[in-house]
Order: sequence, then structure tokens, then C-alpha cells
Amino acid sequence: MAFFFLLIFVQIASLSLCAITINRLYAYINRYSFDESVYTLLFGFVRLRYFVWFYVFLTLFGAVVGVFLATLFLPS
Amino acid sequence: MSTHRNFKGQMESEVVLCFFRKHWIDVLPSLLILPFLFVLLVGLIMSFSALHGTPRAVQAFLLIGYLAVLFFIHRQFMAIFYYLLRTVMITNYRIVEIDRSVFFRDSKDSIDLSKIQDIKKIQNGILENILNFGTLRIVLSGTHISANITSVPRPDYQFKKINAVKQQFLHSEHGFRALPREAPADEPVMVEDIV
Repeated sequence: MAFFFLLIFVQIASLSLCAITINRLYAYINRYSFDESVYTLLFGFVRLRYFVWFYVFLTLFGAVVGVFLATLFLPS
Repeated sequence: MSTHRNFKGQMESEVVLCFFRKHWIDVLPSLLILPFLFVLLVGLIMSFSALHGTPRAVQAFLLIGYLAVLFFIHRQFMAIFYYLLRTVMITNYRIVEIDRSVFFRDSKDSIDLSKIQDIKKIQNGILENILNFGTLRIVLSGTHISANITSVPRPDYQFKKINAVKQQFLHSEHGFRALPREAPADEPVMVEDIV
């Protein structure tokens, strides 16, 4: 049961960290913006928001996996 | 809220002429690890039904593995965001290197154009020449101190750009004011000037 609560706590912490990170990132980017060009983008086409979306997706996917794992530790 | 500025501490009349990030080779390890982490998570969820009958020790081991994957996901994305926020800017007054991350770093290093004595472009090794990146060594006037900007993409372009901006700065009104006034040949040199 302790593992179950540990996993739920970790999920909340992980999702919170993701939200705070994106919030801080966009606060900075919106304040100090750049005119990106093909020379400044990563590999010429990868924008920061692609990473942000992938980060959100991976964190949410990780949370789903965590919830599944947590059910293993529930008393049957 | 947008401030119409490109970095913290930008002066009123300061214009960013060019900016660049470090070469992608710096962020490559973080990018390569991400697909592995994703595959590990998929593998974990695929084998979930098989985990029900396993002993507690195996489940605990998987739990630790899962926590490690979660930690690395956050860590790698922090590294990617750090790479994207870390920029070098060439303005009409100076070269500014912003060392900024989401949580832990907020530093800035700037070199005035008037202080630049010499610039060296260093591209050593096969990798640097094939992938076209290198180091710009900026020697400061009046000292033996030099500042290095490493992992500069397209160093030839940045090298020419800094030199052009420096020449423009020195020939501008602001640049002349920054330079020490030289006495004309026919003007007698005063003792105070020498001292």
C-alpha cells in the first residue's frame, strides 16, 4: 500500500514539475522573443514548441504507466 | 507580457543584429536518449498483464526502474530547454552570451565591441570540419585575456559578422567617442596627455 501512495505522489510531483517548467519557459520566451530563421532553428526546422508538446506527451504517458503500476501494489 | 526586447538588460538603442545557439552536437546526447525512454515506458505497459503474478521483489525492481525513467525524462527535457534558451547575441554595441535555464541558471556575459582586439576562429578535428562548428576566441584589447565561445555553428559566418559589426561600430559616431583621441601631427603634444 505504501508503494501505491508513493507512486501516486510521484505522479503528482512529475505532472506539477512539467506544468511549472512549461509555465516558466513560456513566461521567459514571451518576454524576450526572437525572430527565428532556418539558421537558428534546431536542424533548420525543429521549434521549441515541438519539444514542449513531446514533453507533455511523455510526462502524461509516464503518468498513465505509473497509475497502472500503482494498481499492482493495491491489496487484492 | 512582451517587452519588445530580446534579452534582459538590453539597452534602449541596442539592436540585436544576429543571434545563434550552440551547435546541435551539444544537445545530441539528450535527443538520442529520449526514444529509449519512450520505448522503456511502452515496454513496461505492454508487459503489465504479465506483472500481476510476479514476486514482490521483481515488482519493486520495476518500480525503481520506472522512477529512474521518469527522472531521466525530466532531466533530458531540462537539458534540451537549457540548450534552446542558451543564446549568443551580436548587437550593435556588444556580444552577449546568455546562459539561461528554466530553473537553475540565469547568467549573462558580455563583451563590448570597443574592447575586442582580435578574433580567432578555431576549427580543429574531423568532426568540427565536417559538421561545421568551432570555437571563436575573442582577444580583449590591452590584456592577454581572451573569451572563448565554444560550439559555434557556421563559425565562418559568425567570424565575418563580428568583424563587420566591429568595423561598423568603430566607424560610427559612438565608436569614435569610445576611442582615445589622437593628436594631429602638427599639434604639440601636451605633457598632461602623455601622463
